[in-house]
Amino acid sequence: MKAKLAVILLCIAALAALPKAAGRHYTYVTAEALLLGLVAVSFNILFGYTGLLSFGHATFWGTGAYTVAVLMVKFSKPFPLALAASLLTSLAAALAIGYLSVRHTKIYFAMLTLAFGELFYAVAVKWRFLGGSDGIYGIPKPTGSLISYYYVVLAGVAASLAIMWWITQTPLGLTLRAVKDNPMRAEYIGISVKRARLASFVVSGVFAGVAGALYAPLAGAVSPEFFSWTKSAEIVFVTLFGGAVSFIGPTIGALIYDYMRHLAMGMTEHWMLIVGSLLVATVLLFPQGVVGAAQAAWRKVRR
Amino acid sequence: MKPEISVVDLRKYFGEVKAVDGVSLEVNPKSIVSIIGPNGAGKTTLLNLVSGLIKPDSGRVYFRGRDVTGWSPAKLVKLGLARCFQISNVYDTLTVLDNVRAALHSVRRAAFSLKSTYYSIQSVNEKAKEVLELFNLWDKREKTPTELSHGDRKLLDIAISYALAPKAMLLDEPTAGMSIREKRRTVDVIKMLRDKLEVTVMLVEHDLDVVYEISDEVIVMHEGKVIARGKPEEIKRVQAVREVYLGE
Repeated sequence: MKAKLAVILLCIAALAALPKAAGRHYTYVTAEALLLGLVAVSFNILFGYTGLLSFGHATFWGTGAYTVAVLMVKFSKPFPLALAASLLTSLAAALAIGYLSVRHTKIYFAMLTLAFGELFYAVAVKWRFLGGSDGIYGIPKPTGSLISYYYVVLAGVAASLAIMWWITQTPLGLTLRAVKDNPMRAEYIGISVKRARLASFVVSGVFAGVAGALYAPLAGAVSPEFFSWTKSAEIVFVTLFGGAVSFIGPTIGALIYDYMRHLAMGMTEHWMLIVGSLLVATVLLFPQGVVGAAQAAWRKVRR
Repeated sequence: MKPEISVVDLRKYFGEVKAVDGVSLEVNPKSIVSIIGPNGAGKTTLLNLVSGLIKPDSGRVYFRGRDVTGWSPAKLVKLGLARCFQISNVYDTLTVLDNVRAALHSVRRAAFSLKSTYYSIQSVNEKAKEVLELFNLWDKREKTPTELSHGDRKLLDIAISYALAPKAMLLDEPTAGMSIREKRRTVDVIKMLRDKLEVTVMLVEHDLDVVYEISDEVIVMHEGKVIARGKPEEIKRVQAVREVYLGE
């Protein structure tokens, strides 16, 4: 436990020191990767802990981002208010979509969440007020500079991860694992499986919304692609890549993925080919993800 | 004495198959009632109907005087009716201890609690220890059920249900697939449920030696109907039972 805490503090210290050492570009990349990591961990509450595969998780990422964009650009509201509002909008979206989706599981659940994501995408494209296919530009960074906003992102991600980690350690966290493991047994110890799944969906959706809300000022613009199924697939992907078996796995997956992407982008315009093949190899070699493989290796070494 | 469980003219057909066809029965508090009959007699369907897994076509189920026909399993558990399964139904990815903790949180209405970590609630930990010691599983608390013997898995299933502090328990073939020693342990556990823990037990079982040893009443089913009922020594003598089982 103490060793774990030391590692966490070391990571935070390293991330805090990063802007000085790595410069503007990698500060941006790291902030982006951290937010992708946050949305992936929130997705994994639903997937890894509760056993529900959502293919529409970008819905909440987009909802959070658009809420901040609309309030800051169209209504000139301050960022803290916009962030708080994004909690409410993603909560409302998660409650509504969750309520309609959790009565189904497996592929039906995946398809429903995918369909809701596409619905939100269509609304974003068609609704003039949201800027149509251009999206909304000119979202100011609340702290002025990229470097200072990086610390806002770092604090937001750290706080969100801490809260989600706490949830996994509470009776609710155990209940979700029980529901994933054996829904019928869960019902027969008096747990309403639907309610448990909805609770998970809401937690998952709200933190995905927070991640999107923090991302909007970083990118400075939002567009309908925030809701698209390719974004949802990216979230699923980095989660599996990092490892759904561990709490922090998806964050590691996001960091590696995003760095790899930016490196490959700098080398060639066919960067997707490089990233794609590396990722296919990783998934084939380590079905439990990078962190899952590392954990297995560590167990072997200790023995 | 008012019956704990009573079933009135219960019917469930699956297409042409009359799985349960007009069954009525009562189970008195703190007694053990066993249902026997050949495969396909409708015994498990009856348990599924009483425990809320499936809904009957007609007829009523009463539990502790309340009409609970069509209630969900989760709602029945809250009223005090727990159930175990033929194939032991436990959480394979949780430790033995967490299997019991999850049940304890649920019965304390704390399954959705965010106030503390799930492993630091003292009253839950104490109760979990008490339950696991009662079923001789305390030493194996850190194992997952996949590492347990078949007999221990089934005992864990019963322990989870017992942790719910039920008034009545339904057991589906509690000794199926067990060695003689494991059977002995399970028989003792079921007797303990009734005699020490004051739980009403309704069970389905194939092993007639077990049934005759533990039951206060035996009910014989055949093709969806009750064809005989009585005390074990009475049932042993009934011609119909012999015909059903031995084809005499």
